[in-house]
Amino acid sequence: MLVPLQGHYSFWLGRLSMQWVPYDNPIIVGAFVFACSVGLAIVAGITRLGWWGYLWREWVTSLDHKKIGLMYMIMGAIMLFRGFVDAVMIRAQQAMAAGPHTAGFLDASHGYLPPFHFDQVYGSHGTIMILFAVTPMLIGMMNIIVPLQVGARDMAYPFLNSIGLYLTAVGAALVMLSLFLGEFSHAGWVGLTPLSELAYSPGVGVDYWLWALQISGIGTTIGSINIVATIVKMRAPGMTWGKLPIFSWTSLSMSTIGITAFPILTVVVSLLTLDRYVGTHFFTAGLGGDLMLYKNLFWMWGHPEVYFLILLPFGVVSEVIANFSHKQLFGFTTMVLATFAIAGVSWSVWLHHFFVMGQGPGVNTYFGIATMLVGIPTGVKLFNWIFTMCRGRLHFDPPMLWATGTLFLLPIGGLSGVILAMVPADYEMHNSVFVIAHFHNMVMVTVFAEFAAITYWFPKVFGFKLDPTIGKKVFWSWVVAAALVFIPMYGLGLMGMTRRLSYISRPELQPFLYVQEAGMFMFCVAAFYQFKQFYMSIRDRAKGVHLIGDGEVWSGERSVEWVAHSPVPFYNFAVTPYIHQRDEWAWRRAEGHVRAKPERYVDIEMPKNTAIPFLMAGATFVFGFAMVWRIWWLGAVSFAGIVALLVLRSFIDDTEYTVPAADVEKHEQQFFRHRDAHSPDLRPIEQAGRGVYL
Amino acid sequence: MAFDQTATPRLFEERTPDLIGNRTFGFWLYMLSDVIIYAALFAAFSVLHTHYAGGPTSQQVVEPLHGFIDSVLLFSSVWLLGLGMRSMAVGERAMLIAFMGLAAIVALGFVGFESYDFAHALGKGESPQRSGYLSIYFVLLGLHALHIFVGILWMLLMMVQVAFKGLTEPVVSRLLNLKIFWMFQSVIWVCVFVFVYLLGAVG
Amino acid sequence: MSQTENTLDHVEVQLGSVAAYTVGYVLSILLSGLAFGLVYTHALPRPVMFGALCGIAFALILLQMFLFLGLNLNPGHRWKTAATVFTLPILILMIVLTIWMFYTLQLRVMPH
Ligand code: HEM
Ligand SMILES: [Cu+2]
Repeated sequence: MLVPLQGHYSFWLGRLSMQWVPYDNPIIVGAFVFACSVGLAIVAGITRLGWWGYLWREWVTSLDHKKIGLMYMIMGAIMLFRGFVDAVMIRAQQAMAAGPHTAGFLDASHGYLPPFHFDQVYGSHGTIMILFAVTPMLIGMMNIIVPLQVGARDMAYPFLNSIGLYLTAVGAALVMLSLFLGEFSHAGWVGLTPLSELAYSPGVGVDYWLWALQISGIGTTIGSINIVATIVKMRAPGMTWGKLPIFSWTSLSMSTIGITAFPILTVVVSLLTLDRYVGTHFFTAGLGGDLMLYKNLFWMWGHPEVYFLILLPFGVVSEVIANFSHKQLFGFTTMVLATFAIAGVSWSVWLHHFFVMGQGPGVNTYFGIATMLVGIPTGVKLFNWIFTMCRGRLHFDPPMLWATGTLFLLPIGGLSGVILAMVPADYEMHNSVFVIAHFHNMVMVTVFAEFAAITYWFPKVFGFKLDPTIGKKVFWSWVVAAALVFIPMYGLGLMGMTRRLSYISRPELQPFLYVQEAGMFMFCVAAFYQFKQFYMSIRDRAKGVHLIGDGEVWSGERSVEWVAHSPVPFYNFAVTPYIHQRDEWAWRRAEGHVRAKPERYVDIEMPKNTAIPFLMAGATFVFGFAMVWRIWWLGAVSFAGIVALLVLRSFIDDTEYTVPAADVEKHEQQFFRHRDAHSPDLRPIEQAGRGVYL
Repeated sequence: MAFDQTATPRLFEERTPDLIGNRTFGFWLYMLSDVIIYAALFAAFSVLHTHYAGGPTSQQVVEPLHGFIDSVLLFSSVWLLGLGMRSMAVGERAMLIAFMGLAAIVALGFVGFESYDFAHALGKGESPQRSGYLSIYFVLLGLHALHIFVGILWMLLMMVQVAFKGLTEPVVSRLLNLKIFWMFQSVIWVCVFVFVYLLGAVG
Repeated sequence: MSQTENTLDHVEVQLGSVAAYTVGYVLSILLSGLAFGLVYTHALPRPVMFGALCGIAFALILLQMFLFLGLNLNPGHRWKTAATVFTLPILILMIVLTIWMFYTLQLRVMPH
């Protein structure tokens, strides 16, 4: 059944051998030394502080949605950094290798990365950024905010929530491992067939890519199911659909895409895996395989996936703009409808990624027009935000800066998308860096919104703000950097530069590449400020910006999550709030219920910690590793381990514990004392009284 | 919702979670994602179903009679599990276990019969490696058979749990999920039967 | 367990009936038998056969959806029905658009 392989193979170690350790490549060795020293430093630090037990009890085994969300965010941030390093390498190579007379270093005839290595960096950049950086951060945000916004104590399935996190982490870990053991896919983040078939990629790179996508994709599907179920089933009393806040609406639409699109990824990845492992002919170049079927299936997932990335940011921007304009969101209903219109249309546009395949003009027209239609709901949203800001009391704190930034990025990226949706134009521009400029512009919207969300909700979760002065520096350096990198890219695309080039044959393009390089420098500055922002804010959390309140942090908050205390206690709400308005907090503030306390406290059921998700992650990682290296016995053992753990879990019945009402009360009293001692400045808000509510 | 400005508003209200409803809803969503998996495979099938690459054609590969026998077996298993669910609803654990056992045995017949077909085809050299058509043929049928096999194991697990734990809330919610799983497999089988077996035989 | 009774009172536990399952079962076998018979006896010319088989498949799916899965609008099932109804167009788009694009593709780039 199995395909014959080239090269060394043994029963116990599969394809693994010393030949796969890239000890002769100075860049990778450097990265390895760096990673090891950071890893060792962290381990040593934790051991010295004696934090292992704490980490195990409070984080690794926790089913608390806020902690899981935070772990998602942290993982996303680490991967964002890794993807950024890849980007720096790509840009440096292109800037160095423009024209036949450019010098070559380290085995490369031009620049410093030989083509095969460059292609791996390129492939990992895309894969990491989309699937392991931006996506986990979005899911982390939903994890933290959605239960709070619907007034729940946790997600619908806390256990699955943890599994979702760990599956994504396993995928990320496999990608990281590929750097030091073996290689990564050189077939781009889209895994171009037939290049990604065994005949043309005989190494393990594509296998790493496949298993990382497979495992994390399942994690994302599970996570999406959890969010939808939480929103449909766990809403607080009184919260009818009309009162569901906008961020939760966008989470719902994003997660519906997650549930419906990610299974297709599972399919396309499985079929390619079968091609590579058992020699079937789905996408091969002969014996009845169809290369174009791969593109079709991949983009059937891929396009909804890119809207998966943008819908939630729309929700963040809506929340932030309403907050910092001190106004109700303009056109709420149209906003929700537009969100779902985008999600719906995303099921009729995927062919725009391969207009040039050769299908008939009727088909292309259908998909081209459907693609352009997306511009309409997007435009509706843009106008709604502008009207929300219109005549508002605008405060440009960092979250608002990021949100306003997206208002500029969105039309540029959207319109360039509409240009690409015109079939004849796309025939010219397909696979040029114009496309890259388009989607980076769009993904920048996502990233900006993520930073908006982080700065906006940080005090909600931790009880103190990130330093706004440094925050503004982060923002402005990002803006400059993004402009320098991506605006020249549009020009380069129109001048005919194609994507995925490790060598650019036209020296006249070099000035543009240098401008981009300057942009990369600014990105480094931005990254520096970002680190500084976190470091300084956490170090100085006790000084000045420390805030513990009844939610209120920015003074314009509106939705339900602010009804919970800041920082949010582990049970979220001592007693579940009854929801009267979509902007419940704004309403409570206007009605003077800011400090209302429940008459009595009740026992609370909370999910118990469990080590099973973590153990399952371990088994899954071993499984992925075994499959990449084709170590069949290890694959079988680890798979059996996964199943055994699941069965074991189904026999454990007391998965919850009770927090007695008295304990809840004690906790709340303590909080109130703390608040009154530390945040007297919060009182005026209460006195603002009626009339503030718009 | 009209808010009465004069009365003191209700600001807090505890609610009791509906464990069963929550779990079956999530599982239903999961099954919908499973349906999408099949839909993607059927989309692939629609492209590959004529890609014989000089190998056997669909008329040579599929046996509509076997497909029909498979259908009868699967529908019977579904029916038996349905009866089991009725026994559960009235709290008859023994009957529930018996019906589940029967459903599992009949389903085992289904898997056995299909495996026999697979073995036969492989014996004739009709392997998934032969052509694009045979690749998708084996994957579609194989995935469905795998689901049925997993369902059988799940039934065994539930028989143990019903016997030892009784009809507790978690056990009942798992049983309901099992039912949803099984009935979805039946719906999917309809598509496999009609589009792979029957239309394959028509050509 | 004392909890058992309340558990079994849950609407979703009480969903479905012996009659519904049995009718669904018998009709499923009859309809699939009909489809099989049509194919086995080559009763219809090919295009008509194709239509007839699709029709039978459609009927079977609906039948099982209602009688086996109990798709309906009562409170226990409302959201499941809604989710299913929203998924259907996606399934259709996925398959029909694929058929369409590959049909026109084959005409142009893969002359047999
Ligand atoms: C108004 C909305 C949009 C339109 C009309 C649009 C249109 C297009 C078109 C036609 C292409 C294909 C270009 C080609 O390969 O020749 C494309 C590529 C792409 N778009 Fe968009 N797009 C829109 C929004 C977005 C959003 C919101 C995102 C992500 C957040 C996004 C991400 C991408 C990506 C990642 C690719 C290229 C993938 C690749 O080939 O590697 N787009 N877009
Ligand atoms: Cu697209």
